[in-house]
Amino acid sequence: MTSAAPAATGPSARPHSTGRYVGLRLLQMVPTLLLILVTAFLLLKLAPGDAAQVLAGDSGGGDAAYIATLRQRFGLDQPIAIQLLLYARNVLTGELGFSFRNNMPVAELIAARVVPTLLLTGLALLVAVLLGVAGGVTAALTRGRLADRLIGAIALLLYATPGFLLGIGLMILFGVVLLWLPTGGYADANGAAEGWAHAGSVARHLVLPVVTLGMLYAAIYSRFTRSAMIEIYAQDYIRTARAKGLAPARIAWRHGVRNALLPLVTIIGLQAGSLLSGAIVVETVFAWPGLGRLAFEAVQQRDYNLLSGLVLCTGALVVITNLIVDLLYATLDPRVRLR
Amino acid sequence: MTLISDIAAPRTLLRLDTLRRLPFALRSGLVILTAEVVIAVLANWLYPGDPFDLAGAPFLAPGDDPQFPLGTDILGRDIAAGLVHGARISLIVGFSATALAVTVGTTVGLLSGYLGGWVDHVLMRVTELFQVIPHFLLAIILVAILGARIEFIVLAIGLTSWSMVARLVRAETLALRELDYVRICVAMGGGPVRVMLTHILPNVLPPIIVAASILTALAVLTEAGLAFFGLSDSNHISWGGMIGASRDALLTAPYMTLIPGLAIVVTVMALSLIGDGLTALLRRGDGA
Amino acid sequence: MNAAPVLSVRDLNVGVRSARGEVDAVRGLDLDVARGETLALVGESGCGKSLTALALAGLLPDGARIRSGRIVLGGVSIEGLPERRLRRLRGQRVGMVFQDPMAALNPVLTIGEQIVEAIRAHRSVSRAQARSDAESLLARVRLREGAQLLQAFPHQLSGGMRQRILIAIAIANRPDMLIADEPTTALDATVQAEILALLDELRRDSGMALVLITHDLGLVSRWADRIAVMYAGRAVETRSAATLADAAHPYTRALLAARPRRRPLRGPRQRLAEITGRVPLPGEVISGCAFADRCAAMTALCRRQAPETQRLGDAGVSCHHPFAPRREVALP
Repeated sequence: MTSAAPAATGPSARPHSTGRYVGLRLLQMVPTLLLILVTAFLLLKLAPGDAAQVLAGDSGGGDAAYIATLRQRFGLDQPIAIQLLLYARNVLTGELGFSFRNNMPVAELIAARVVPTLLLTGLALLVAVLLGVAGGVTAALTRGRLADRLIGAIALLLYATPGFLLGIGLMILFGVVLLWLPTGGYADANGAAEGWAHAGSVARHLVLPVVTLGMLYAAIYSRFTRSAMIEIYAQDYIRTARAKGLAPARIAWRHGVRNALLPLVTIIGLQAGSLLSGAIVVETVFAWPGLGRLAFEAVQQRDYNLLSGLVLCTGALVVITNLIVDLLYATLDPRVRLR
Repeated sequence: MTLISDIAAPRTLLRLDTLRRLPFALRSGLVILTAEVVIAVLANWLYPGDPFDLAGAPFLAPGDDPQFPLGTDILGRDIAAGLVHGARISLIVGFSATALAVTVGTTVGLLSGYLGGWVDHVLMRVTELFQVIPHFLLAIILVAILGARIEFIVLAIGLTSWSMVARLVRAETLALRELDYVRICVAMGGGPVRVMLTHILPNVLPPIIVAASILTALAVLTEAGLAFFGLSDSNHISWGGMIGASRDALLTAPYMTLIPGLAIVVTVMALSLIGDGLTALLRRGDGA
Repeated sequence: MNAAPVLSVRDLNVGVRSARGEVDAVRGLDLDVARGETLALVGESGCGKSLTALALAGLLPDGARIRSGRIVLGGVSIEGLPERRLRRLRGQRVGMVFQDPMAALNPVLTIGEQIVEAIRAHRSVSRAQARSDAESLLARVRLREGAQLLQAFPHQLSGGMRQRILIAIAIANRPDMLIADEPTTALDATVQAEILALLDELRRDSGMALVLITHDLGLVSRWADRIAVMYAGRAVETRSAATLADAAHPYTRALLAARPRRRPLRGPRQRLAEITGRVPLPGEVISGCAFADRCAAMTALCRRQAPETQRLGDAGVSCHHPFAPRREVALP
C-alpha cells in the first residue's frame, strides 16, 4: 500500500523557467536579425548604380552636398566590412536612407505604413483562425460525409485561387455589382470624419481585403485542423473522456481543439512570412496603404533603398511574430513550460 | 493542399503498383496535369505563331467568332493561343523553380542533418533567413534587380522556396541517421558522402516528391502573381500577364480575366491533388 | 448467489465492420456478475474480450455494434439504448479503466481539472465541492499530497500514479460496476500487484462489481471470484476461480498447462507446453467447434457441430468432451 508524492518536477519547481525560456529565445533571435541586416545591406550593394545614388534615391537630381554627406555617413569609400558596420549603426539609429520618389526618409515612410498592414494581417489572421478551426473541426467530426467533402472542396478551391484573382472577383461582386462595399482605399475620401465615423469608414474598407487575405489561410488552417483533430481522436485520452460520459461537444472542444491548438499555433508561426507576402498582393489590389503596397510601388520605381528597408522591417516583424508564437505555445503546452 | 508538415517519411521505399490502385485524388490530378503538359508541348503545333500577335478584332467574346473559340482580349490577341502558350511558361517555371528548390534544399538538409555540429548551426541560420523574409517580397526584389527574364524568375522563385525542403530533409535525415543500417555502414568505414547518397537520400525521396508537388503549385501561383504585377518575361505570354493586361476591361469583359484565371486554378488544384494523393499513398504504404 | 446480479449478459453478439463486411467478433456470450464480485474475463489476443468490455460500458467504437442479445445492468437493459442515454451511464453506473495509462490523460489539463470534469459530468455540485471530492478520491486510491497533485500535469507523473488517477476517475461517481481492461499489463511488475490490490480493496469497500480482463491466469487465481474463458468470440468456460484447477474445457486446461513453471530443484528443465495452431481471426467461418483444430480431444463430432453450453456443477462449459470433474458424474 505505497503511494508517492509527485515527482521532483512538481508544479512548483523552477518558477523562473519561463523567464529563462523567454531570455533564451530573445538571444536566439539575434543571429537571425543580424543576418537580415546583412541581407538588406547586400541588396543595396547588388542594386545597379552607385550606392550613394541608390541611397539618395536614384532620381538623378540628387543634391550634391546631400550625396556627399551620405557617402560619408555610409562610408562608401571604405572597405566593405566597415560599410556593413556603419550600415548597422545607421539602421539601429533609424537612418535607412531617403526615398526621393516619395520625398520622405525611408524610416518615416515605413513607420507610416506599418499600422495599416498590421491591422489588415492581424484581422485576416483572426478570420482565418476562426473559420479554419471551425471548418476543420466540422470536417473531422463529419469525416467521410457530405460536410467533410464539401469543406474540403471549398478549401481546395480557395487555395488554388491566386490572391489577386480572388480579390478582384470579390471587389467586382461587392464593390461594383452589389455596391455594398468600397472598392479600395483606406477610408472615405472626405477625410474630415473623426472618431467613430472614421473608424467605421476604415472598417468598411477593411472588409474585402481582410476576407481576401483571410480566406486563403482559412483554407490551409481548415485542412490542418482536420488532420490534427483526426490524429487526436485516435489518442487514448479521448477514449477516457468518452468513458467519463462527457458530451461530444465538450470532448471536441476541451480535449480535441485544445490539443489541436498546439500544432496549429506552430503552423501559424511558420506562415507569418507568407501572410505578409499575401498582404503585398491584397494591399495592391485594394489600394490599401500598407507596407505591401509600398513594396509594390518600390519595385515599380526601382527604389532599392526603400526595398532594402522593407526587407529589414518585414524580416524583423516575422522574427518578432515567431517569438510571440513560441511564447504562446509555451503557455498552451505545459510540457514545454515545466521541464 | 498538403502542408509540408503533413508528410511522414516511410521507412521503406514507395512502390507504385498500377495506376488503377492509386487514390482518386492522385489519379485526377495526374490526368489533368498530363493533359496540360501535352497541350503545352504541342503549343506550337496547336497555335503556331506569336500569341502576342494581334490576330483579330478586340473584345470578341467567346463564341462570337468560330475562329476564336475563347475570344480575343483588349488588343485583339487570341485568348486560346495565349492560354496554350501560357501553359508552357507556367509549367516550365513551376517545374524548374521546384527542381532548383529541391536540389538546393535537399543538399542543405542532408548536410545539415547528417553532419550536425557547426555545419548544422550555420546552415540552419541561413535557412531560417530565407524562411523569415517574406517569399513574395524577396521574389519581386530579386526579379527587379536581376531583370524580368525566365531564368531569373525561376531563380527567384527557387531561392524563396528551398528553405521548406531543407527543413523537411533535415528532419528526416536526423531520424534516419539513427537507424541501424546506417550505423552499420558507418561502422564499416563508409564515408559521409557515401552514406548520405546510398542510404539516406533514397529514403528521403518520397517525402521530397510530395513536397515537390506542393512547391510546384506554389511556384505556379507565385509566377502568376509576378506576371500580374508586370514582372514576367515580356517575351513570353503568361496567364498572370494575361490577367494583368485585362484589368481595365474587368467590368466590360470579365471573360478575359476569368479564362486565364480558371487555367491557373485548375493547374494548382491538379498539383495539390497530386500532393494529397501522394501523401495518402505514402501513409498507406507505410502501414502495409 | 442470493441477490440479483449487477450485470447479466445473454446471448450477446457484437459485430465489427471489416473489409469483408460485418463479422461477429463476439458470439452468443452469456455472463453474470454479482454485486461485489470480481469476474475475470480471460483469453488470448483477438478472442473478443476487449470488445465485450466496451460493449458492457456502452463504449463501442464506430464500426462496431451490438447485433443481438441482452445486457442488463442493475436491472436496466442497455443494449438498445440511444447514445444520449448511454452517455449518462458511462462514468456514473459503469466505470472503465484501460490498459495503457501513459496517454490516457489529456496532456494540457491538470489532474484536478480532469477529475472534477468526471464528477461534474454527472452530479451538479459546485467546483469547490468537486475539488474537495477529487482530493478525497486521490486519497482513496492511495495517492499522497492530493492538494498538490491536483495542480500537476500528467507528464509529471509516473505510469503507476497515472493509472491510480484513472481509477479514481472511473470510480468518482460510485459506479455499480468497474471494468478494468488489462489494467496492469503496461506497468512494472511491482506496481502491478499494488494496482490489483487497490482495485480489490475498492471493490470490497464499495460493493461494486469488478470485471477484470486479462490474459494472465496467475492474476486470475489470486484476485478473481469467478472466471470466464473466451475463445474466438465465445465464452467456452465459466466457473469459480477456486475450482480453476478442475477446469473442464480443453482450452482452459491447455492454458493452465502452458503457464511457465519454476525450474525444479532436481532434474532437467521442462519445456514450455504450447498450444499448437493459431487463434481463428474474427469472421473466419468455422463449422463446428472453433477450438477443434487445436484440441487433443477432438473428434468428428467436434468438427460438425458447435457445442452447446452444459452445466457441470456451478460451471458452464461449451464442449462436446469436457474433462470429467473429480467428484461429479460425467454427462451423457
